[in-house]
Amino acid sequence: MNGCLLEVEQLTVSHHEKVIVSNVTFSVQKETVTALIGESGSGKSLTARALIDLLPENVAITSGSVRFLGEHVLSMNSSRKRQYRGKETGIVFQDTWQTFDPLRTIGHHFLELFAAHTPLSKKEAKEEAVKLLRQVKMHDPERVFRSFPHELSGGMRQRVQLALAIALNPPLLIADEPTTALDLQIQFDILSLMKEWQQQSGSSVLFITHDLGVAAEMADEVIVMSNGEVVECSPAGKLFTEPESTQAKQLLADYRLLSNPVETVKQSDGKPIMKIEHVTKRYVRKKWFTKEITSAVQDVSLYIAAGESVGLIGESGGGKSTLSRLMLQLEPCTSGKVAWMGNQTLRRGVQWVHQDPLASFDPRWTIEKIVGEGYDYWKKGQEGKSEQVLSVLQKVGLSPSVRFLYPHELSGGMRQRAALARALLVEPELIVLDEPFANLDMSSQANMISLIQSLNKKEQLAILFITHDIRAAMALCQRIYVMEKGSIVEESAADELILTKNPYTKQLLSCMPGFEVGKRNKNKTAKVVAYV
Amino acid sequence: MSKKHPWFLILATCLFLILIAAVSFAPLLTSYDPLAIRMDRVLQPPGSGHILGTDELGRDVFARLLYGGRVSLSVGAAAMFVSIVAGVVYGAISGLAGGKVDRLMMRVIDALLSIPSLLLMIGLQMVFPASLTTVILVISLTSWMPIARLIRTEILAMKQEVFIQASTVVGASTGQLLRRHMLPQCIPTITVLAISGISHAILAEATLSFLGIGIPPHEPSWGNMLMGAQSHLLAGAWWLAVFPGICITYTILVINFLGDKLQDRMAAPQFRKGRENERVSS
Repeated sequence: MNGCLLEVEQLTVSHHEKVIVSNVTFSVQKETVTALIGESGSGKSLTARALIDLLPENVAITSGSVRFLGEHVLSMNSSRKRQYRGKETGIVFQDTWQTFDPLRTIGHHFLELFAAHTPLSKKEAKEEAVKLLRQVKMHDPERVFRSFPHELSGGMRQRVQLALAIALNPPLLIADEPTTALDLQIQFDILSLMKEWQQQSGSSVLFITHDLGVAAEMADEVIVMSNGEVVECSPAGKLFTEPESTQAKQLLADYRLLSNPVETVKQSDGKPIMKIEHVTKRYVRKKWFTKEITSAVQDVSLYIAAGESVGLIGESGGGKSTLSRLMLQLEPCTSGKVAWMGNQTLRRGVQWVHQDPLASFDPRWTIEKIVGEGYDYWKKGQEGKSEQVLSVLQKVGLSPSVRFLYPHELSGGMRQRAALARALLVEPELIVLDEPFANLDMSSQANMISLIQSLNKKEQLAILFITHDIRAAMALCQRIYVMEKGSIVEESAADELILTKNPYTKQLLSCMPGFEVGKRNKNKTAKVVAYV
Repeated sequence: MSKKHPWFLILATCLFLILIAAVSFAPLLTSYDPLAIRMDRVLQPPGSGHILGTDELGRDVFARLLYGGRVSLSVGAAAMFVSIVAGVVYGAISGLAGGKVDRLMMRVIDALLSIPSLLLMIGLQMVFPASLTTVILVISLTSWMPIARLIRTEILAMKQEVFIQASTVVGASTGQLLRRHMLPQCIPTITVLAISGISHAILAEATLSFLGIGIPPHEPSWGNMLMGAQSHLLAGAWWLAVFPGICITYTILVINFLGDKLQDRMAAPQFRKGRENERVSS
């Protein structure tokens, strides 16, 4: 060990009277990557914010100390604190949208940073910024420098955030779920950039994540948090082989459920219920004299049999969600045919669970009304409605008291269950799950997967599972379609996908975090590979 | 967090109720006839038997204020109601239809909006005889367009919302979507529009009457009282202008306060103040 960079002792954070983080003690060593893992709501992010004394309103540190290179952070005066936050720590947040001023260009953000903390002239600052943007592997950094935040994609914004965070070469980089909202390919890129920078500069990284795979990929030390307390602190190699606390064991079990393909019947014998033949979707944008045509989906054919679970994977922007909207007939196809049970109309038979459950609920309605909505349209009369609602809620594992709440009062996992309950109420034959796990932490993902599996088995419900997360698809599905840039490039049984020859699928597989655990410290954690 | 007592809402409601009561029970509050002309008591200052004095024809200002309030408030409420209904219906149709129909309907609104509303009001007043109903119709005919536009924009944006699509998937028809999801979402907007609509209508009535083309001059309304006052202001009869002015200001302030509080009540649950935004963990 090279000595302590950051020491946290007995840190307690409360919201009014309620203790959220209690007696947290850990340290970050120099030149190491420390991962802080735990379920959402376990106090990870608040701990990280407490480290830079940047807590939300009404939340305060009630006791404990944070020492950075021996200096007490909490008793710094405000100008020293500003220097500490700006120069000595770099921060990367999960949200790439709210951290930028939408009215300022990316370049402006850099110039502001350099003006505040360095004596560089404007011209030098610009050169430095372009250099940094190049360092985070942006194509055409000059253009990015001139762009506004909304002109960049989520992955690009995250790279810019990283570039901003490492601009002043801080000894400590705090990364708060930096890749959770991104697809696996981009996650992989960002993680490798971070690792590269960490190794070159010899800085430390405090990496906050709920994803054990990411932690395995990145971390030397792992801190496990649960319910606002640190339950385990151990080197990465040890945690993945012999975890001590029950919480760590649970996380590991969830992780394994997610990463191991299930043994299911390979081919279901049901008849195809949904058949898509040569479907193409083009969006035409008319400008003054020209037409701009984007093809979202190109000549796609697939089928889904009764009771089958089918995965559709590919990177974001690959046309997966568009395809799902075409299947649900929310949009007309440009050409081709979506056939449901021969030639019937498909409402009711096909239901939908959207990636953002909160957006898919009417904010003025209670859960009972939301879940029961289908009843109003398909069943005559209102009698039996509340019993029906209760029984679906039970089926998805929600307590009956939930029905009086509004959507924003539920946690992410519960919302997704409620969305599933709404779909189940009308007794569909097929459910389209559009990135249902995108906003969930690993434990909720694992819970949802077992729930969906049991529904699939018990009720003979067919499932189309759309995701960028190849792990989850392999854990849940029997058959997987791989989609690239609007067309299907491969179809394979889930457990045979690993043996693929298709270059695109191979690339997707290689981005899976933790797929080759410990590639970085091969000697130290050789065992982990075998184990996980 | 302790829930803040809604004393402000209660206060605003009380003030509003006082206003309504005063106007409705006018005969109980004053024994004077607002139309009775007494040439022996012309332009008496406040005090002397008449609480708020008399006007140039010896009519009691207090009585005229109370009876005039009936006209002003009913014009405000009725004109607001008509214009909201017209605006919401037009806007909803335009937003839902989309495409060419929408474009055509919006151009019609543009055309109507390009005529100065005061000019339109004056023009319409020339055609129809001056009466309460005409004033209401004229004011609502000139004020529904911005409402239609706003509602149309809201509906248009909402058509893209995921929860609308989700309801479509569950099986809602267009009518059901509109009734169950879209219009309730518009309620906060409609509340704001309604409040400013009332204020606008009261002021518009005052303007029309002030110009001498609104309510017939012998009938009291706050607006035509103001108009009557202008020629006597220089003579020192300040009470003729000040009291109707105070009434108009008071009413509009109270309605705006009330609207502000109501808007908070109507907001989607997560934006309501006072409600604990705590998530429930499983």
